[in-house]
Amino acid sequence: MTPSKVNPVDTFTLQLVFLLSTSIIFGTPSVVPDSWLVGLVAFFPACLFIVLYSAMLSSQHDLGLYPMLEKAWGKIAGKMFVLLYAIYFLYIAARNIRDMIELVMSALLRITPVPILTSLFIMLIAYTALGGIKAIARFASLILCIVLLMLVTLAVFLMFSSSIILEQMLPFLSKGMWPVIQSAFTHSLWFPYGEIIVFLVFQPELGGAKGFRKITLYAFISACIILTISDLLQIWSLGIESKKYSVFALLDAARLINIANIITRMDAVVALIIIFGTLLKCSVFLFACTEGIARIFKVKTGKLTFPLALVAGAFSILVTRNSAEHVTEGLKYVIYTMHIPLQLLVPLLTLILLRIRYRKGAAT
Amino acid sequence: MKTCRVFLVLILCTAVVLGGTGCWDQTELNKASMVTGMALEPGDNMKYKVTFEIVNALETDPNKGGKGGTPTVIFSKEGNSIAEATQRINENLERMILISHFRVIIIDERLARKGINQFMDVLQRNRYVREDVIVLVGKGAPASDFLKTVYARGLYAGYKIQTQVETYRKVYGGVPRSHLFDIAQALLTEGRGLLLGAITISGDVEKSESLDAIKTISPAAVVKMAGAAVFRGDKLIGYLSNEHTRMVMLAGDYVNNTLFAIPGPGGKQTSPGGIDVQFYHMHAHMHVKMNGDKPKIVVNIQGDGKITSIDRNMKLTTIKGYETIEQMTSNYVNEQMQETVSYVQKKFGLDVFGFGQHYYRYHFRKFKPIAKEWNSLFTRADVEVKSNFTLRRPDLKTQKVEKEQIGP
Repeated sequence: MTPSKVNPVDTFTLQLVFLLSTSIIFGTPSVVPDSWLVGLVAFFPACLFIVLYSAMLSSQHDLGLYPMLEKAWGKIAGKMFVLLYAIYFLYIAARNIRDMIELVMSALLRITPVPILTSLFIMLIAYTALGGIKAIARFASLILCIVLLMLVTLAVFLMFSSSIILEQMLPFLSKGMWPVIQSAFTHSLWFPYGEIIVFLVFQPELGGAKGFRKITLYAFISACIILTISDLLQIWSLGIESKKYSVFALLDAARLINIANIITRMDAVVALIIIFGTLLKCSVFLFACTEGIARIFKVKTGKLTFPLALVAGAFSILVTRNSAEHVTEGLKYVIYTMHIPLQLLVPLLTLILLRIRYRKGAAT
Repeated sequence: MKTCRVFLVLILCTAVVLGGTGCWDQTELNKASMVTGMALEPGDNMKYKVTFEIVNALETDPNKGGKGGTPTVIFSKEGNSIAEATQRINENLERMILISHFRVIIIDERLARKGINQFMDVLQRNRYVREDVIVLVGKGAPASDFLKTVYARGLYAGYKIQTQVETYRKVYGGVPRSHLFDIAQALLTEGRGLLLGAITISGDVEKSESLDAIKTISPAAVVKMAGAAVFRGDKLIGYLSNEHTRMVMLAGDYVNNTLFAIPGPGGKQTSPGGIDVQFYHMHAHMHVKMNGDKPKIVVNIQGDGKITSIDRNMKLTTIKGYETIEQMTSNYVNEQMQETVSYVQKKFGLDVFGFGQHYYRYHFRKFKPIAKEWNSLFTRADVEVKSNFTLRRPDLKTQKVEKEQIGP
């Protein structure tokens, strides 16, 4: 691992694309009518993640997540935690691949066998991950440009086909504020904001605690704004009532585009957004996972990338039988059994342990 | 070792190239046929009868010209669901059908009376069906007949109907915007009855089925706009005339461009001396509030237009002349709107204007307790129409061309 640092702008774009990628398509889960508000509400508690994680980093002079865990929990327990986190990252990568596959299978291809699609896609992911975090970060600015351009295109096209009706976001807060807050705390907080924990693994290269605090805050703010705009776009074009019924809300919104019967049905644009976004997000997770596995089993990272990518691909197919299972698992079980413990509880305990075991000024 | 490596890389590349083509989802164009229209009817033996108008691409080539065959072929299939009938269309037809480009769905009156919700899902769920495909109700004739009426230019009946509906809506506004997406919207929100465009046939359909029919100057049968089909929930309950439909659409701000023919003095529609005014930019907004247990509705209509014809002596060089015509237009539109509202209140007792929807969107908390009884409240509603029209210019003449009297 070379200690040379990644350009802060690249780090910012990397984190922003990471936050946007899948959530821009699936949007905020429409369990409440005013789903666009959920993202805004979730932003404020999400900033506590930044506080927590940067406190962890600063207490240990910008050590990565894995060494930090070993340091806090001791050799054996620490290694167990490293393994746990590696598997967690791999699992999220698999879930994201599945998200992408779900969209591609229902919007673009339908007969093509899923294993073929998945294996082609994971090869790309593995190749990206092989480049290391620096290469991924530089790749991110390109993807950010594509994603933003596509989103702006969608918005402009929707406007020109007069599909944007602001009235459709009313009635405002028809079920009150409480469901919105509840949804923010049960869904949006953990996904996508909480997943930022994966960047702790690379922090030594990404600028340490100081950089993390600032850059991540900027990334959170930008992501919050863009996601809210995307949510609003969906509501303005689909209407508060029918957004609830669509599997991919942004895709449904894109289908409404019709400019003079020439530019119609921009489904492909939406598919591109998710394919690029998922590519980056998965490679970040995959790289984090290989780092962890390589640390435990003392192997070179490069050797693990392809096998682990294959595992992620296989996992993405095997993990659920149908899309309902996939969504329920993602919105319910994963949040309580994995996101909350691994994003909040373990880091919090680690921080406390670190504070207790290594008081300020004590030799490390 | 090195050659082995090169060999493996080559194999991998070939595999990627082959895999990347996505050949599983390929559809050859000469193995597929485009569908331009779809008609849904109750079946004779099974639940539904689905009729497709399928393009015969060879005959429609503008450069080579056809061999004198028909440009479209009509195929029907019965099934217990729309999807089944569609999938089994190949019992009659040799090619796969491409449904992604059809522009019009015609629902039979008999089906619509039983409720459209029981078969809408397949259309809304399918990714090939456009959200802006036009859904119409066929009035007075079996739905498949509409696809059988061809005329000289409209070689595809489906395409002709679609263009006709859109053009008519654009220049006159006498047909509701009945896209597939609007159905979902109307059925999901509160306080607005669903309106779909209605079409009917005048003339002899049986003659019109033959290609010889397109060689006559006056078409044997013509598909006509028949206003709007009114739905209570998802069931057809009646029709609105073209004029009423225009007023309903105007109140909901769906009409941009239209023409009003104001009758001359005498109070009858046919009295001489009428005035025509054409509007290009019309806007309407509504205010709804509850006055005790009676809704109080105010409809504001604004328009910007020109004078198309004046069949009486009136000077357009004076400001007074414009003001008089504006006032007359205003009175006429207000009267027509009032008449339409009271007609709908009496005939259907159903809020097709979307007043309830407006109240639901802007005053949710007040609407919530009365949501169930809104339609009965609507029948008692006081509707006030305020219109403010601006006529900008008189086209090319300052007044009616008329000889001025000389002498006493």
